[in-house]
Amino acid sequence: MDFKKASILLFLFLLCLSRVLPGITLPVKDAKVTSTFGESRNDHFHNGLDFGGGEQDVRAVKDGKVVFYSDKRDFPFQSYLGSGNFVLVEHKDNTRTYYMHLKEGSINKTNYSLKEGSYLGRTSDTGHSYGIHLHFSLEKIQPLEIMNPLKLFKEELTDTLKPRIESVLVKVDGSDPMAVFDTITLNSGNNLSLYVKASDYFQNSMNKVAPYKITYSVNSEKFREYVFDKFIVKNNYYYLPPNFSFQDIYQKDGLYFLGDIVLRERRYDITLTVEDLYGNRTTTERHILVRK
Amino acid sequence: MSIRLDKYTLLLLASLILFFPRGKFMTHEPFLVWKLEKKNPALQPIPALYRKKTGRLRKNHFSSGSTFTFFSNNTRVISSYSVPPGFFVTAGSGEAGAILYSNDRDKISFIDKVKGTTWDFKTYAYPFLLQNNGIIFLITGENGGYGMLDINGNELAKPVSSGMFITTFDIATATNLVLMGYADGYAKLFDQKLNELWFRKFTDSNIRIVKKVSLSVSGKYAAVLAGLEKEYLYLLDRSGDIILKHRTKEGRRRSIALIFSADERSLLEESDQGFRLYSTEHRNLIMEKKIFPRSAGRRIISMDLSADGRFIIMATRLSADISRIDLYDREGTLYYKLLFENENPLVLFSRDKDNFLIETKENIYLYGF
Repeated sequence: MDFKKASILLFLFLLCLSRVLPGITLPVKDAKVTSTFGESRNDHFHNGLDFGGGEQDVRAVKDGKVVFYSDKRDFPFQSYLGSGNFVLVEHKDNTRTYYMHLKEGSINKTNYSLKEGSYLGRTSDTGHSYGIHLHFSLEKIQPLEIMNPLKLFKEELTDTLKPRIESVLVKVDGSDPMAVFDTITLNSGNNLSLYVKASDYFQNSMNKVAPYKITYSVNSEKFREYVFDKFIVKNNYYYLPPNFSFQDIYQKDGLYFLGDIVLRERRYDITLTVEDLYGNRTTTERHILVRK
Repeated sequence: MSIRLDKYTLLLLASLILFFPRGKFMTHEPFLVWKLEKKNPALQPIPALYRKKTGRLRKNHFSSGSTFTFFSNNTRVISSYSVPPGFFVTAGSGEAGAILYSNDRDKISFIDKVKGTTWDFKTYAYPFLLQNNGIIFLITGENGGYGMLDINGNELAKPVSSGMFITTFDIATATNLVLMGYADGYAKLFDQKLNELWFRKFTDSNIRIVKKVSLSVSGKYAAVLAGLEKEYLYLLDRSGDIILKHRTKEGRRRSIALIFSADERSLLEESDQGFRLYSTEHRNLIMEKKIFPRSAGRRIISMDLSADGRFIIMATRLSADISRIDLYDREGTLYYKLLFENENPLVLFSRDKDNFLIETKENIYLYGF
């Protein structure tokens, strides 16, 4: 086979492959990540990704079909839902994507069969929103699972910034929280509740967001881990697998609750690791000395 | 005496039939009762006249520093308030007052139309509906959960998470029953404490989605529009049993107007070409009115059904500047039409009389007939 024929065959092969492999594109061009999946919204989990970047076009992230949209332009006298103007797209791979807070009157209402990159609308500030942004959610239809959409765009975005551990706090026998900087000494039989304040910054926006993973180990043994991959739905509530409710994880002021230990007379070496989806990681240690 | 039906008699009878006024109910044309100029852009229409009795979100109109005004039913000013810095008004057209919420996301305040601020309620939720009977609806996040307060700021129900995305909801104005429709094809009825009374999955479509729900005034009937390529309108009774199922053949991707008459005997459904009227008592489609072809691009802006279900009023957009308002009887006869040089008129029948309101950007009109 000569070079010319081989080139043509390779081209055709790649062309076919590009049609078969599911494509993925960012929903907005200026994709500044301002909120991540699983963040505390004071009384519930943030169930998607927020993209800032000002008013801009919103596009379908992959091939699909518009199954529902809501545009106040059609019903100018109706109240906005929390999602404002939105579009719901169903894809062949058993997933749905949601594009929320869109600009009134901007939604595409003529073409329901979408290709990756098809225009859907413009970003805005409609509904329960405090600034122009796109709230993007991804869910698996059967069984219902709310997925972390950042995993979809991992290759399209980059982030080399390490998450931060802002403070480590303990409550002893229900006391007020106190910060632990290195080592504390407590009594045997004390009930210790551990909390961490952690955050991450996404490189392209410098907005404070939530880390992807938090791991808490005691004497090198994993005690608890939160991995914000997806939410499962039980009895109409979201749970972070295996079974963490919003209240199980988040305290007021966005503190992460990491669990209780009844202290025995020994030394406890606590290791906390926070990690983002790109593998950037920060680890810190604290020590608890327990006396009789 | 015998009557001979010769050709002249038949001609006379035919003429009488042809020219007999078909409007059994209408005695004369609608007349203008009053007109109110909306000098203040933040002015709210008069809520007491509205049949549906729900507040409406006007976040942009009521941002910090603007003022909003309460009017009596005879258009007299009762009070005016400035929106404090950092606050928005979300539901300003309740009977009793308005609700403010703060940008700091941690509280809402109630403004009594006579007494001013009467209470604050600590919540991160977003107040977006104030019913005239004093029920305040809260939502968390992007339709994540719903809760309810009474007019005194007491929590009736803590926000209930939905799990699945809520696409539509309605409240029975007399009983505060709440019907919610979900993106996975479920509809669920709740009482005012958000206890689930029934749920049903609508699976007659290849893609399950509930696009619109509506409740009659007492909650005796529920209407659900579900499906996609195969789209159905369902009428359900109080127990959630289907008593009428109609395939619409339209396959819409959006919400529609779905309105029960106040007497609960009729249900009006917006269609792509006009509207359909159903009888809840006889559980059948009474009439389908095709007014404009789908290709004409006319859109229904707002529509309503009179309290006794005898009349249908509808505003459509003819062009960017011209809107048309039509009044039909329940047989589909057009009685009255008005043209407005305005983009989006709202049309609503009053609660108990055959009056209707038209709200435009500049004015509010009350018509009687």
